[in-house]
Amino acid sequence: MLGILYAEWVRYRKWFWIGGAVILLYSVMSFMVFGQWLDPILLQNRGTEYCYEEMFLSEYLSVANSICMSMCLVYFVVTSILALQSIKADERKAWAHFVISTPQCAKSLIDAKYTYTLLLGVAMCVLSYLFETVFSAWYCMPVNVTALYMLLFFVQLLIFAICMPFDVRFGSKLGANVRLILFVAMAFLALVYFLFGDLAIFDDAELFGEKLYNSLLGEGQSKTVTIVMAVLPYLSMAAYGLSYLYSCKAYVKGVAYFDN
Amino acid sequence: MTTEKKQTLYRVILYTLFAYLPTYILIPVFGYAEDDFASKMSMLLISFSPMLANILTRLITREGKTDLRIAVKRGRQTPLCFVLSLLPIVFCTVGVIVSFCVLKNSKMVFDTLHTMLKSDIVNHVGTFAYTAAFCIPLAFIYFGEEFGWRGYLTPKLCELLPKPAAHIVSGMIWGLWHAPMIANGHNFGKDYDFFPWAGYGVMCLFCICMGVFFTTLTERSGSVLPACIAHSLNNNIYSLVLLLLLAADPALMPESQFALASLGIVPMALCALIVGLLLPQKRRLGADAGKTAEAAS
Repeated sequence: MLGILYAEWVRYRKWFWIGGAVILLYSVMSFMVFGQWLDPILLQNRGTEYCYEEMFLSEYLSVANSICMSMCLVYFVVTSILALQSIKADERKAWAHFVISTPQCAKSLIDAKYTYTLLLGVAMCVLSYLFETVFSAWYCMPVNVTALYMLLFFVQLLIFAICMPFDVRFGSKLGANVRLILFVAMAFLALVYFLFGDLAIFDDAELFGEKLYNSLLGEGQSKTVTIVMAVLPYLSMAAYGLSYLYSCKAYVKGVAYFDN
Repeated sequence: MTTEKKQTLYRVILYTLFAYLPTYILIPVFGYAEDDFASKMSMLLISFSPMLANILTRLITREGKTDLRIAVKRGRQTPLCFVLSLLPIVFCTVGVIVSFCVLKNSKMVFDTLHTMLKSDIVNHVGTFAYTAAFCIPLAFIYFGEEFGWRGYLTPKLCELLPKPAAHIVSGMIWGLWHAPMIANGHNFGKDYDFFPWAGYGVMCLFCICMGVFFTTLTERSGSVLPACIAHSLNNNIYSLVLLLLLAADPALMPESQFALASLGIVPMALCALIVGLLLPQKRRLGADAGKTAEAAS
């Protein structure tokens, strides 16, 4: 499995560098933009008691939280793209037959794919944690978005758990079509929500980050959000396990759909 | 003492030195968890110092990458280890409730629990459920400690000493690593008799018990990952239950934080010790079977 993991790294090394550069660029930019936007006097007095006064916090903390949230989303998008890319790799019949002929059959290959995604999810958490820690330390603000990136970790697992079996069973071309149908269905649901749902959160663009933070992680957390947050991790862990078991079984059948 | 053992001892000393240096230097210099950049960043460095000590010792002594204990080995006991790593969810919760019952009126505690569940069951159970789940990916923070203590120090001590002695020494070293934090009031507060020595003692005892548990998980699964999850759950579930109960009824807070913390960790420590000692010793059984077969032939 380690060999296949290494092969994944070698194959996508270029994409890792690009992803790393994007992450670094965004991180530095958001760090500097917040520093520029913050009142210079406050910047000099950071760490003093004044910075923990309610007025200061109400004015600046929501923006700081929004920046950390957006950075978590950037890390999530980059690592998700890297994870989804690995799905379509290795679509060669000769390679597939060789993998099937090994003592562990296709299990080692599927193991590597699922471990690779898990590692990318952990990488997303580590990056978010580091950004949050350094940001809150540098600007002396009690920023806390841990729950958000933990939630995103499970969302990433769920997305991969849904997408992977289709690609394994029907090959990446058909799998991509099935994925497209899923995403269109999700977009349709979002459209229905935008037409008939509660859109109060979008009333004021400047307050969007603050409202989103409050409804997800803050005091304004509704029962629905709590239930979703409580159920999603267990659902995605179960889905990931089932998806892995199914992928191990379906790999042999999926080889018939490979082009070359 | 053979040359091999001397080399192992040298590695243990070097490792301990590297693990202790950030804690014993940075906390007195920059303060503990204060609101400035240096203090916060030093806390980040401290939490990963055992991991860095492992890497540095391996580099300096040219040990290489053998026995890193990261990748999980395939085996029947590995899934069991991951299941056992979830034990702190139960025992930390029990610990907090028991300590409140002992230090305050037990009727008061159960009334609070009843009110909590009756008034807003979705919020309380939901918060507990997602915090427990979030502790699993959050285990990467505790990888910094486990990769050092269980991934390097304990196996090295096992080469030098009999296993029980190795567990005690490893637990003591791990417990005393927390000393500067305890001296700053972390874990037990500052308002108790024999401060901070009593705190050091309790922490060492707790670390010995938990060390046995974490080492068993690491040995059986071949990886520090189950130990990281158990460590993460142990640290976070305890605080969560404490906060939930105190938020529901602040009058539950006993006078002594030390008594609360010391009693609260007892169920988990006992469970850790029992599981650590009783988990089937597959390797030893295998070795015994091998010896028997050898004798028969």
